[in-house]
Amino acid sequence: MTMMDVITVSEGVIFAYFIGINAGYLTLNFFSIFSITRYMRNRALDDITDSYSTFHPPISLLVPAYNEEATIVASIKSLLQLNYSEFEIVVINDGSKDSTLATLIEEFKLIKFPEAYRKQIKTNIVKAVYHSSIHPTLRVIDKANGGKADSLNAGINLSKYPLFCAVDADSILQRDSLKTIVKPFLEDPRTVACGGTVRIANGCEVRGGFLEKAGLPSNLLALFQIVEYLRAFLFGRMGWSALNGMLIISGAFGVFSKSVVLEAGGYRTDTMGEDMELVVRMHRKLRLEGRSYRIIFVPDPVCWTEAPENLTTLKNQRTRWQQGLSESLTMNRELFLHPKGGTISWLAFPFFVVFEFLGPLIEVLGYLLMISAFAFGLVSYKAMAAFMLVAIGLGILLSVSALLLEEMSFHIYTKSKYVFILFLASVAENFGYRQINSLWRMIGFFRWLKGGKGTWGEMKRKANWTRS
Amino acid sequence: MVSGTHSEQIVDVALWVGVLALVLTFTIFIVILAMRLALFVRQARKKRFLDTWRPLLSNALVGLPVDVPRVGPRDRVSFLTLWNRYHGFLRGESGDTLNAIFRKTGLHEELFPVLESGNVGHRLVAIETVGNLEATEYWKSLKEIAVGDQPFTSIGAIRAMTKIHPHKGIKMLVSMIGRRLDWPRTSIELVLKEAGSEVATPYLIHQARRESPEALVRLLPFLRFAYKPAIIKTVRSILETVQESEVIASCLKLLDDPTALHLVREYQEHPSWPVRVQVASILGRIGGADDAFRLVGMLSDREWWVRYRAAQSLAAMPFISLEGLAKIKDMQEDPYARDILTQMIAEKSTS
Repeated sequence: MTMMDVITVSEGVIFAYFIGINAGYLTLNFFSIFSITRYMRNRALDDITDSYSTFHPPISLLVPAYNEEATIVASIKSLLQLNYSEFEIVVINDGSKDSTLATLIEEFKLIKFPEAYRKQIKTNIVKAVYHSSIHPTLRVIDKANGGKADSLNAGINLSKYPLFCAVDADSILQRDSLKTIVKPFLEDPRTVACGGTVRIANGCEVRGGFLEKAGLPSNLLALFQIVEYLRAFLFGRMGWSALNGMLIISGAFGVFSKSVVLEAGGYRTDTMGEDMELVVRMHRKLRLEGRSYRIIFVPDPVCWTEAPENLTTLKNQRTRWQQGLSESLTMNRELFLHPKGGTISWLAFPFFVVFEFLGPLIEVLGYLLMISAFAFGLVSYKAMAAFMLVAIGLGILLSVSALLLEEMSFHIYTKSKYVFILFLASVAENFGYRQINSLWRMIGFFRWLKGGKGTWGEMKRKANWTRS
Repeated sequence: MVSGTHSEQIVDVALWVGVLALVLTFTIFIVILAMRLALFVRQARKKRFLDTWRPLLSNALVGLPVDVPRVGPRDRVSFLTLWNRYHGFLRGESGDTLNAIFRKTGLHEELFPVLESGNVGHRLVAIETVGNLEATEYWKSLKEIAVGDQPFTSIGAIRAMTKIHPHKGIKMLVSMIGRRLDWPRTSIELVLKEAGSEVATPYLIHQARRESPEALVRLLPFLRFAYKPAIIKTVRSILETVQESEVIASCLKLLDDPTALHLVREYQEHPSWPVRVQVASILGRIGGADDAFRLVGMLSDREWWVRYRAAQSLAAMPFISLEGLAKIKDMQEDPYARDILTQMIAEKSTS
């Protein structure tokens, strides 16, 4: 085999990969269009049926907090105002080094309480449980540092209700987010978990802990992440949910059946992707036991989060996510092509392995190979143009498809100029941003290979909304 | 050896795929703009409709003379929705005024096609309208919808039927509760509440006595809409015949009357823990001093939830003081029971 043969074969593989991944996502987009149309039709019914369908199961909101002194009070205050009939808030202070606990004690008049509860999942030492003397539905666990997963497990142990919702301390929820996300549990008793759409809060107007008006940020990185989140949630998860093959529920906001999570053993503390790992493990357990269940995604924008606006924080986030994804898949590899696994084992899991787990590696190598082959004259202008058209053109098509789904559904960005800006961002993010992302994810892949240990994802937050 | 022609073909295909992607991108963007334009048109239309009809309905309700304009086909569902919303807020004479306006619009004749529409939302609005109008001529259509597969339209039709003929509507509702697991619980409750205990009691009692254990589990929680003496009598007869713990637990939940205490006590040692949890819970609500001893015994139950509920019930008993609770705690050898009682003492002392 000559050098030219190697180049030609590689070229074929690279083209096949880029066309394959984009075709895969476009197929998901196709499913999403149907799902979202059906979802919006049912949603229109809610206005009519809401008057006589107001039962909502009680929910425990679990809020892990590590060094969140800047945002924790505002977050809890907004959670206390959620429009839902019965819920409790359990904040888990995971050995914060700052004054998170002291702030909570002072602001919510916390008192130590001799709480009796079942320790169904083993966790790091719980030092104390506090009750708020002004908000009966608020409790705080003070525990030794053990990471986010350990905190959530402690919260599950203390929680009272059959459903729990894991919420990031810095998230901004819609006032009726719990009502929205609990619907699948009411509509189908087989539902064991439900994830909601997370959107970017940068550039939005937030007042009193709630989002008043959606807007776009001036920071280019945050703007690109808006397009990215639209793509990931509106057709990534929506498409997989339609196929009952959703492998990820964002750690920022998801509701779970407590009994099923307990059966599965709670969150694993030895992974960076505890949110994804739990969902994959639940699939593994329920599929292999032959049980009928649903893990659902609701496309309503229920949760808003602050996106990193600088390259270093974004890089850390993306490498961590890739490590988490790699761990989640390899820890549950038994599910891969398992005869009892159905859609998960034969479609979702292999797709994730090829395009999400190995994808960044292939993508980065593809770009490097094509660019260097072109530089050395081993690839023609035409082939290079074809490569760029496929890699970038299909990427733009995917992003613009996500904008279409947004326009078909929620019209969060009401001003017409936002549509133009988002269209331009959908095009521009394909020139550099996506490639650098692949590079960071590849780093995450190698860190996973080396066996890096998980820690809390620290991010310097601006939390501008807490000031208004 | 890989042929050059083959490589050329791959490149050609890739080029065309890329070009197609760009054409599609541009097309989608045009579609997005068109959708945004259509949205603006719809919003303007809705605003015009509301600007006309809201003041008109409000004026009519305060007795001012109004000219009722024709409702165009495109505003038909919007009108029905608004009209139903007003009906939801108002009662008595105001309801009659709304009905009179409705008849003036001539839409009365046009409800049949909406009732048969493929759009579930439109059908629901029409069903609600028929119920608010108490229009008997639609009874047959409502009955057909009530036995249909769509949960919201079927329970909506039952609700409308109950507004037209309360007894016939409730009879149909109650006979279907056991098998219509898709009906939201609160929808059923709303219909039963609107009909009232006088209408609902005979049908609920009759159905409860003949249902299978599986259907009983679904039906029993709705028995609380019947008169209390009838509930206790029925529950007693059910308990004599059933073995299923789920049914027993559901029955016990309904016995919150001191006259039924002896029945509850019989299940204190039941092998199923959800039944024992119910016993502990009810004894706390309606039990006497004797039952406090029973609850103390339940503090060492093998199931955590029974112990927890027993401790909660003890703390809730008005004749047990904080000191009494502390004494009970000191008597416990089981650390879990002591932990739970410590919590209850703390709760009681802060309440």
